[in-house]
Amino acid sequence: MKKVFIALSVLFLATAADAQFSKASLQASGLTCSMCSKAVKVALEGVPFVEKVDVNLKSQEYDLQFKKDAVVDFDMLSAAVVDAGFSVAQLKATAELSNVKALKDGHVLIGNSYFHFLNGKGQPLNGATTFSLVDKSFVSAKDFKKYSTASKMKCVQTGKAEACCTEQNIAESSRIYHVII
Amino acid sequence: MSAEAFLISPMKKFFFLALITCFVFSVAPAQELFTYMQPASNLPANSVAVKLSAQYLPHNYSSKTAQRYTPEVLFGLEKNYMMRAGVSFSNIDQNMSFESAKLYGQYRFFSADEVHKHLRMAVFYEAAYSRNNLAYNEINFGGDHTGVSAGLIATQLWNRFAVSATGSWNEVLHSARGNKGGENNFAFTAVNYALSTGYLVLPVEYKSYDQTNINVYAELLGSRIIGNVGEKYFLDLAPSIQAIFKSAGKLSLGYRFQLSGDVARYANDGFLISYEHLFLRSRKK
Repeated sequence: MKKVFIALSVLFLATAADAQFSKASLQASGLTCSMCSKAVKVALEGVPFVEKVDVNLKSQEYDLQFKKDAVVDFDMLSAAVVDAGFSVAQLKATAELSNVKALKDGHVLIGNSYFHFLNGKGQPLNGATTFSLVDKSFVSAKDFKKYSTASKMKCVQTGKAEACCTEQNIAESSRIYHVII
Repeated sequence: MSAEAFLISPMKKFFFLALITCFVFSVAPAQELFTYMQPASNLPANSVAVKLSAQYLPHNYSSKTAQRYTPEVLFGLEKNYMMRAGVSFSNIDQNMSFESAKLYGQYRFFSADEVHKHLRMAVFYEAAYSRNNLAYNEINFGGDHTGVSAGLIATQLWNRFAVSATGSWNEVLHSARGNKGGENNFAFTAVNYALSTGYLVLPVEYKSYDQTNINVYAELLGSRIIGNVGEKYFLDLAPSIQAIFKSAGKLSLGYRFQLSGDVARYANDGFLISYEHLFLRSRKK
C-alpha cells in the first residue's frame, strides 16, 4: 500500500516543466597550468550549444553561456573536459523555471532531460534557479560517494532510469541527471 | 666553445645537485611538462603539437661537440592515447645528415583528478631506427640506436609541484646481437628510469592565458645495463628551465650531466634546447 502511494505521488511529481537552461558554471579538476586550462576552454567552446566561455584561471571555473533555444546536453560538457585530459569537479546549471516542485526523489522534466532532486523539500521553484549536478561525471569520486548515498534509488548510481523511475512513466535507460538545490 | 668548457668536477657537480635540490624543495608546494621526460598526462584529444629539439653533445673521446636536431609531431588521438613521430639529424657519425626516425605511443590508463591535483598513470612504447654505427653502450632511442622499448609512467601533481617516475625496458635490435663478438662488446638491453620534479615559479597568480609561465625542473635520469659487457650503469642529473608563452609555446633549456657511471657513452653531458607549439582544435560545431 505504501509502495503504491509512493508510486502514485512520484508519478504526480514527474511533471514536465517548459524551461530553458541559460548558463552554467563548471569547475575543472586535475590541472594547474594555463596551457591545460586553455585546452579545457577550447574544448568547451567546441560544444555546439555553448555560446561563450569565460574563465577564472585561478579557481579553474568556466562560466558558460548557452545559445538561446539550444538543446543543452550536460554530458557533452563533461565529455569535452575529459577529452582535454581533465575532469569536472563541479557543475552548476541555471534554468528559468516556473512552478516546479522540488521534492526529494522527484523526477522533473526540464528542457529535454529528467532531473532527480536529491534534497528537495517540496518548495516551488520559480524564475532563474541554479542547482548542482552530482552524477559521476560532474563531481570528484570522493564527492560522488557522498552524494550517491543521498537516495536509495538505483538511478543515483547509474544516472539512468531504472525500475525505480519507470514507475514514473520514464522510459527505461533514459538519462536522469541527479541534482541538489 | 671547447668540450672542456662543459666539464664540471665531481665536487662542483655535487654542489650543483645540492643547490638544485634545495631550490626545488624549498619552494615546494609545478608542473609536469618536463624537459627530458614525458608525464603520464597526454596531449588533449584532437590537438597537435610540433616540437624542435637541439642537443649539443661534447664527445667524451675527442674535442668534437656533436649537434643533434630532432623535429617531432605529437598527436592527441583520443583522450587516453597520444602518439609522437620524429626524425633526427646529427653529425655524430658523419657530417650533418639524417640520423634516425622514431615512433612513440602512450596510453593513459589511470586518472584520479581533484581540483589542482591529480595522479595519472600511463604505459608507453617506442620504436626507433638509427643509421648510427653501434659504438656506445648508452641505450636510448633518441637517435643512438635501432630498437624498441616499453615502459610505465606515474605522475602526481599537487598545485605548483609535480613529481613523476618513469621506468622502461629497452632492447637494441642489431645484427651484432647474438654473435659472440657483439655480445662481449656491446650492451643490447637496459632498464632506464627517471625521477622528474617540477615547480611552477611564475606567475604567482594566474590572471590570463597571455601571462608567461616559468617552470623549473630537476630530473634524475638513470640506466642499468642488463648483460655482461662489464659496464653497468649511469645516473645523470638534468636541471632545466622552461618558459611557456601565451599558453601555447613551450621553450625549454636544460643541461644534463653524469653524476656517476661506468658506461662508455658518446657524451657524459650535454645541452638541450627545445621549442614545442601546441595547436588546440575544438571539435567541429
